[in-house]
Amino acid sequence: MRVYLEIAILASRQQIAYRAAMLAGLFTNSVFGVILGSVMLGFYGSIDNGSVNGWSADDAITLIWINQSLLMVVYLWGWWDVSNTIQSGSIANDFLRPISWYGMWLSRDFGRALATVFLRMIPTLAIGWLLFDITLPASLARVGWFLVAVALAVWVSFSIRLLTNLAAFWLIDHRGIAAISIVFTTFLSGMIMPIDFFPEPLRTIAQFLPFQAITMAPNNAYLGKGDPLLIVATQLFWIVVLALLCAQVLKRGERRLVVQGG
Amino acid sequence: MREWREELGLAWRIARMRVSAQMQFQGSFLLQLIGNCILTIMEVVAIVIFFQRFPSLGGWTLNEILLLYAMSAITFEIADTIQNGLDLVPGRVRSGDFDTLMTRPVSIYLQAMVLDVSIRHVGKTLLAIGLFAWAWTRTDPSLTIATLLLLLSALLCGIALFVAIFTLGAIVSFWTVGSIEIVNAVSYGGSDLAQYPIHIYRQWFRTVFIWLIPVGFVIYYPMLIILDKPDPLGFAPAAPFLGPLLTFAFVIVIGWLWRRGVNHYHSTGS
Repeated sequence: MRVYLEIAILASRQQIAYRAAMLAGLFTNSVFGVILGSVMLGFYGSIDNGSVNGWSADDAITLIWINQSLLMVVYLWGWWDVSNTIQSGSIANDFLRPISWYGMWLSRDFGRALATVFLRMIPTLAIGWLLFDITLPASLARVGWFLVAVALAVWVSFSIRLLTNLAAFWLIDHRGIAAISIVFTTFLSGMIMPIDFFPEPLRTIAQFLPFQAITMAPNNAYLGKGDPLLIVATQLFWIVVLALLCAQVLKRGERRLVVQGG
Repeated sequence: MREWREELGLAWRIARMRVSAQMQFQGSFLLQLIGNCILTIMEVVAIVIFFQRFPSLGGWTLNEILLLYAMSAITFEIADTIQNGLDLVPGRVRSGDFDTLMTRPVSIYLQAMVLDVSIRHVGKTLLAIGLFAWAWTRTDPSLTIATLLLLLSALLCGIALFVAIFTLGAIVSFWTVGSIEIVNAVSYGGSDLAQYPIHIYRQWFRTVFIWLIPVGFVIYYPMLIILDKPDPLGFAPAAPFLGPLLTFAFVIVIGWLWRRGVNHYHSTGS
């Protein structure tokens, strides 16, 4: 267990090393928070700040800023570390290590995520609160559930990224997969708008896909929409399903792996 | 004048070379093209869904917003295609490879622009043009000489501004090896905010994107006048002249900064 902890600490130190990039990223998140928040408020202005499918203007604005704060924590785009090890062949070394391959990558990702919680999530939420007066969590219990949901969201996001990375066993170029996965992970996860805004049957479909477990789950936990136990249980369900799927894909992929050179 | 024509001719030849190099990898090119289009379609679908839940945005209807969105997307994509090479400048500056650009008898800026020519934006540009045509027939503004001039002004000012903002990203790299992500926030953020009527933004935010970086101004006002929408900010009478003027000023400043940046550049490495 200790070795995984060490890996996580190392990964989070790596993140903290890039402080200038973190500040720049914070600026980006804030700019988009202001733009998307203004658009959301503009829309709500057309219905005199009424409620839409259970979402008040305050809820929707809070979702916009929570999503901006989560973007780097769940790190949906541009993570091709595993894909790179398949292409370079160094994945063979990773298999030889005396620790779990899945556990190694997972602890790295948790370490990275933990650092971004402090460097990106909390500052972005603070800026959202200052500029847009977003809703603060109603109770300490909500904060607790939110943090649990965020941690599990990282795990779900990691599982999906791992799966798309494993496509490198079969594909040389990951850009096509990247483009398609962005559509699912942003749109169907509720990054742009709460999935409750979707028309049927898209709404039901999105609810039964794992992508909502990345974005909607932490939002619902924060805003107190739905039973927090059910939210977390659904996330755990997807983590198990995706892990089993990864194991299957990995087994098939390993057989295809050819490493050259000496 | 002859010199300019020659330089443009050379840049054009380099650009054609880069394009034909890319076409050697047709599968990869196709995937990028599809990916680029999927993202645009997703954005448009999101706007349509919003309008299923809400009647209007800042007093603008779905078709009017789509027209504004399409105009902004067209200018941004064309600018992004033109500037693609500038993205590579920070890397060249860091490695010292920027030297090669200085030894050739062609304008450094032109060479920087064609360091990389990406045609993957073609898909999105065509999509945006299609969307523009569709939204145009739905909103049906009257087509006069004034309308055409306004459209032309939005197009040219938009392209000039976005290219200038991207140039800023390259300029920053002459002084600092740090991240240029801040400039990306302004370029991509600028394109996003110009897709919606700027009067929905707060005063301080608007001020920045009207007076300092006028991307909020040069596309919104021509479309507002063409669509004959109410003008909550009250710049409409002056906007057709003010927009190009602000753009010109911005481009001049960026041009001056670019020259200073190039002069400041010291080669690195061996």
